[in-house]
Amino acid sequence: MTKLLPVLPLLLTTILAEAQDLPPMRTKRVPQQRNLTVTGRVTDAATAENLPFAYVRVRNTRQIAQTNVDGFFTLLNVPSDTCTLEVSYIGFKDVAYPLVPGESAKRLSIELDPNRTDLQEVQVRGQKTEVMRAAETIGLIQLTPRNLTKLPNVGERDPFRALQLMPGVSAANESSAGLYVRGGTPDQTLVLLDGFTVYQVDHLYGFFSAFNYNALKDIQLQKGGFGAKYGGRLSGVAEMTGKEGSRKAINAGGDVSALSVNLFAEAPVGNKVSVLVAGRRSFQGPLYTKLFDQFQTTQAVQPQRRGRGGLLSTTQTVASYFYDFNGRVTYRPTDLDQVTLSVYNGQDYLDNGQSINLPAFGRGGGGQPAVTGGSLTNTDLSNWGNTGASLKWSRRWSDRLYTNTLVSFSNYYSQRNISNQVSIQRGGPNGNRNNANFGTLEDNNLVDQSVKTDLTWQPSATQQIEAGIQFSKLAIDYAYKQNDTLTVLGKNDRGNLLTAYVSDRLSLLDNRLTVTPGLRATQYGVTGKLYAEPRLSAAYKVNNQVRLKAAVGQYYQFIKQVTREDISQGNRTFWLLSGTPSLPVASAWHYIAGGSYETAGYLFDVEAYAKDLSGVTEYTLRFAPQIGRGLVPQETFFNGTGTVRGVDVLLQKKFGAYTGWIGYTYAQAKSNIAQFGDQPYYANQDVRHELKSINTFRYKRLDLAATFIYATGKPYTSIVGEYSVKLLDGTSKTFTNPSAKNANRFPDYQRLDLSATYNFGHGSLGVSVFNVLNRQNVWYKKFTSVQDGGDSQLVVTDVTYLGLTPNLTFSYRLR
Amino acid sequence: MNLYRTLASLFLGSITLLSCQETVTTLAPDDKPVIEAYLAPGQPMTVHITKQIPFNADTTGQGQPIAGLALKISSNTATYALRYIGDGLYQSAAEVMPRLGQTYTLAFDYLGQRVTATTQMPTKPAGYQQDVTELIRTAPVQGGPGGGPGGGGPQQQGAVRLSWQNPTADYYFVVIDNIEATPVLINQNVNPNRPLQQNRRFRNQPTQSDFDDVRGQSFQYYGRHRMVLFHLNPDYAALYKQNSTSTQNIATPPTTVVNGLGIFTGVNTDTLYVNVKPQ
Repeated sequence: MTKLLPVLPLLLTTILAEAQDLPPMRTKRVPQQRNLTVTGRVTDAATAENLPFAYVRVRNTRQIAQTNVDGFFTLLNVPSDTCTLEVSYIGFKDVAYPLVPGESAKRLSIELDPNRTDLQEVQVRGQKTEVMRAAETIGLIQLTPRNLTKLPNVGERDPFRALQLMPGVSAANESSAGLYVRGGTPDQTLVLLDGFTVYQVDHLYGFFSAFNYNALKDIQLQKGGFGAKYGGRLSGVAEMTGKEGSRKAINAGGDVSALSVNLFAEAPVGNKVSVLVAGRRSFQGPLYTKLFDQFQTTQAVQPQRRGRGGLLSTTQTVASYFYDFNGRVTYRPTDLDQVTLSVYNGQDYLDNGQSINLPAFGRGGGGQPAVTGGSLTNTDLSNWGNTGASLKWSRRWSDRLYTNTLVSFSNYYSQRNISNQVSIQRGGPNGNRNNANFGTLEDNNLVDQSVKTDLTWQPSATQQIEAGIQFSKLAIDYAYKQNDTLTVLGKNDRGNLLTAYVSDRLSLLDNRLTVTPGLRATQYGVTGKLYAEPRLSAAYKVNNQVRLKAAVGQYYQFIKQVTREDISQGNRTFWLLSGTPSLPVASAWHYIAGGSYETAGYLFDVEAYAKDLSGVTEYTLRFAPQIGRGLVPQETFFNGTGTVRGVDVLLQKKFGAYTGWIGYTYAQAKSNIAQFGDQPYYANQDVRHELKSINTFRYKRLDLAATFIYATGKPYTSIVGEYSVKLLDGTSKTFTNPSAKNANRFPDYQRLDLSATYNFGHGSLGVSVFNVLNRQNVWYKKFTSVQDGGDSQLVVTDVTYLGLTPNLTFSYRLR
Repeated sequence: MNLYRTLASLFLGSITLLSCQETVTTLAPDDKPVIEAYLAPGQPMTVHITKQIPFNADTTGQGQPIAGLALKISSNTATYALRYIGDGLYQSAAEVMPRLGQTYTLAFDYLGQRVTATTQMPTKPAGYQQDVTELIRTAPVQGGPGGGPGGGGPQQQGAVRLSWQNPTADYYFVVIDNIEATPVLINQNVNPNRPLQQNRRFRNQPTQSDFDDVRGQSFQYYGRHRMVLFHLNPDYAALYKQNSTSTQNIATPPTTVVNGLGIFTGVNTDTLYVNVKPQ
C-alpha cells in the first residue's frame, strides 16, 4: 500500500484533469474581476523557447492579440476572469487556457505542445499538421520550419523553397532560391534574419537557399501591403526568427542527405542563458556533382597530354562546397529583458582552377632551349557569401509598452575570378621570368551597419501604436576588371539611411474592423531627399468565417541588385546603391483587396493585387559598344516603369491525416523601358498561370507527400534571323537579329515531387524524388550558327533544368 | 447558400479588379532588310541590300539580294537617287561623292515600311604618323618550329607605332595590306599538315586611342605594306563587340538603320607605308 502512495497524487491529478475536461462545469465560475488586463508569454513546451507571432484569442469574443518576437502578449479589457484564452501557433497543438477567477492574469506562461509526427498516436482533436498558414493578415504567410520534414526535398529542407509552394511566390525558378513575390524579383523582397538584412540567399547557384531549417523557429513572408514597420523593398518581407536554444535540456541532432551534413546543438547555461549552434556543409557526393554540373557549364579539362619535347603536366584543383553557420546566445537577466546575440556566416566556394607546367621548348643559341620552364595557371574561382550579426535587447517596460533595440552588421561579398596567369622562364634559373595575367575579375562587397529601436505601445484595448527609428550606413564596392588593369565598371557607393515610422492599429465596431494607418519616412543620403511612404491596411470580419481585407501603400527601394547575365559562367548578381540618374530610386504603389472563408478544417483565401512601379532598372550590355574602354552607366543601365496585376487563390485543408493545399496565381508583370521598344514588354519573371498542389498524408509513422507545380513558361527573347556584314578589311561578321524583347515563351514548367518519410522516436528517414516525371523544363535556349559549306544554319538547343533526382535524408535528434 | 454567394462575389470581385488586357506581342515574320554601305570621300555612294537569313527550323540559305528598290540618299543640300547595278548593289552617279562633315540620310520603302539610316562623314585623320618606315624580320630557324607561346627563338620583333590626333576619343581602325605583286613569305617553313594562315591583310581592333602598334610578328610577308587608318563612326566600332547567342542575353549591334539591319556609315582614311625586310 505504501508503495502505491506516491502514485496516488498522480491518479488524483488525472481524475481532476478528466474532471476539468467535463463540459460546462457544474461548479459555477464566478467572475472576480471584470475588464482585466491579461498578459503573458507563449512558449514551446519542449524547449521553453518563446513562440513569436502566435495568436491569443478570448473565446466567444472578437478580441485577439498576437505575441511579439519574444513571445509576449497583452490583452486589455478582457471582459472577466472567467474567460478562456485560445492560443494557436502553426505547427503546434491549440491550447485552451481558462483564466482562474480571483487569480492574477498577468505574466501567464502558456506552453504549446509541438505537433510531433514521430509519435504514433490516434487523431487528437485540435492537432494541426499544417506546414503553412495564411489569411490572418493581408498577404501574410507563416511557415514553421520544423514541419518541412513533411515535404519533398532534393538535398536540403529549404524554407524558401517551401514558401515558393504558396500562391503568389513563384516556384519555377530552379536557378534562384530567391523569392519572386507577386511579379517582383528576389531583390525586391527584404530578407531579415533576427533583425539583420541578408543580401545573399543562394547556395549552389541558387538551387537552395542559404537558410538552415534547424536554426529557425519561425518564418513570416509578407507578400505585399506590409505595414510601416518595414520598408526599403518594393515587393515583400521575409522575416526569419532564429531558435534561441532549449531552456530545458541539452539537445543535439542532425541530418545527413546525399548532399550535405547538417548538425545542431542547443543547451541551457544556468537558467538565464541558452545557446544554439547549427551548421551544415556540403560534400562532393554524386548529388552535389549532379547539381554542380547542372549549373556550371565550364568545359571539362583534359587530364594529361603529352606535349612535344616534354611532358605537359596538368593539375586541376576542383574544390567546391557551400557551408553555413548559425549561432545564437540568449540571455534573460530578468523576466522582462532579453538580450540575444545572433551570428550567421555562409559561403559558397567554387574553385575550378587548373595549372599546367610547361616543359622546355623553343631553341635558343647553343642548342639550349629558349624557354626553360614556366607555368600556365588558370584560375576559375567563384565565392560568395554573407556574414551577419545582430545584438538585440528587448524589454517589456509595462503591460502596455515594449521596446526592441538592435545593432546589426551585415556583409555580402561576391568574387569572381576567371583568369590565366602565364609565367615563362627564359634561360637558366637566373633568367628572365615573364608574368602576365589575362581574364576578368569581379568583386562586389556590401557592408550594412544598422541600429534601430522599435516600440510597441497599447494605450487602450482598441489601439496599438508601433513606432521606430532606424539608421543604416551602407557601403558598396563593385569592380569589374579585365586583364589586371582595365576597370570595366567600378563603383564605390556610400550612403546613409535615416528612417522613422509610426503606425496605429485601431479596432473599431466591436473589434470587427481593424484599420492600420501608418507612415514611414526616410532621409536618403545619396539623393539628400526625404521619402515619405503612406500605408493603410484594413480587415473586416463579416462573421466568424468570412473576413475581408484590403491594403494600399507606397514603397521605396534604395538598394538594388543587378543581374549581369552570363551563360557560360553562370549569372552574376551585384548590389548597388540607387540615387543617380542612371540608377534611380525605385518606387511602388500596392493596391490589394481580398477575402477569406475559414472553417475549423478548411481555408479559402483570395487576394487580388495591383502594383505600379517606377524606377525599374534593367542592366544589359546589349547597347554598349564595349571597345577598349570601360562601360558607361548610361549605356548599360536602363530605367522605366512597370506594372503587376494578379490574383492569388488558396484552398487549404488544415486538419486530419490528409492535409495540403491548392494554390493558384494569375499574374501579369510588365515593364516599360524605352530602349527595349515603345511598347511595354513582359518582364523576365512574368508567369501567367501558376498552379501548385501540395498533398501530405500521414499513415501511422509514415508521412507521404506529393507536390505538383505547373507554371506558364517564362518569356524570352528569341532570334528571328541572321545576317552578315562585310567589314572594312574585307572579312565578314555574322550577327543575329533578336525578336522583340521577351516576345516568346518557353514551354510550360511542370514538376511532380514525391516523398516518403518514416518517423521513429528520435528522428526520421526520408526518401524524396524530385521531378518524378523527368520532365525537361527549359531553363534557357542557346542559339548556334552552323556553317555548312557556303550555307549557314541556326541551331537551337534547349538547356534544361534538373531531371529526375532521388535523395535520401536521415535525421536524428537526441530528444 | 450564403457562403457560396460570398465566395462567388469575392472571386468575381477579384477578377474584375484585374480586368487587364492580354496584349500579345505576336512574332511577325521578320522582313527587315540588311543594309551595308560605307560612304567614303572621293568614291561614289554604294549601298548593298540583302534579305536576312530567316531563322526557322528547316530553312537554310544565304541572304538573297533585294532588287527593284527606289533608294535615295539626301544631304542638307541635295537628294540623289541610286541606281540598281545588280547583286543587291545600288550606286549613285559617278560624280556624286560624299563630302566631309555632311550628314547623309538613306531612305527607301520596303514591304510597306519606310527604311531610313543616317550617318555623318568623319573628318580625315589628322597628324597620321609612323615612327619607323622599315621593319626587320628574321625567318624562323629551320627545325625549330616552336609552336608554343613565345616559341621560335629570338627574333627581331619590332613594331611600327602609328599615331594620330584624337582629342575627342573618336574611333580609329588600322588595316594593313601587303601590296607587293609577288609577295615573299617570311616563314617558309610551312608544315603541309598544319598550314598556318597566311594573310596578306590584317587589322587591329577599333580603338579610341591616338596610337596603335603594329607588331612585327603580325607581318607574314616581306615587302611594302599599306597601312590605312580609318576614322570611324561609333556604329562601326560596335560591330566588333562580342555578341552572345543565348536567350539570356541576346545582343545585336546598335545601328542607325531604322526598320532595317546592318550598317550605313561614313568613313575617312589616311594612308602610310612600311617596308618589311629580312636582316
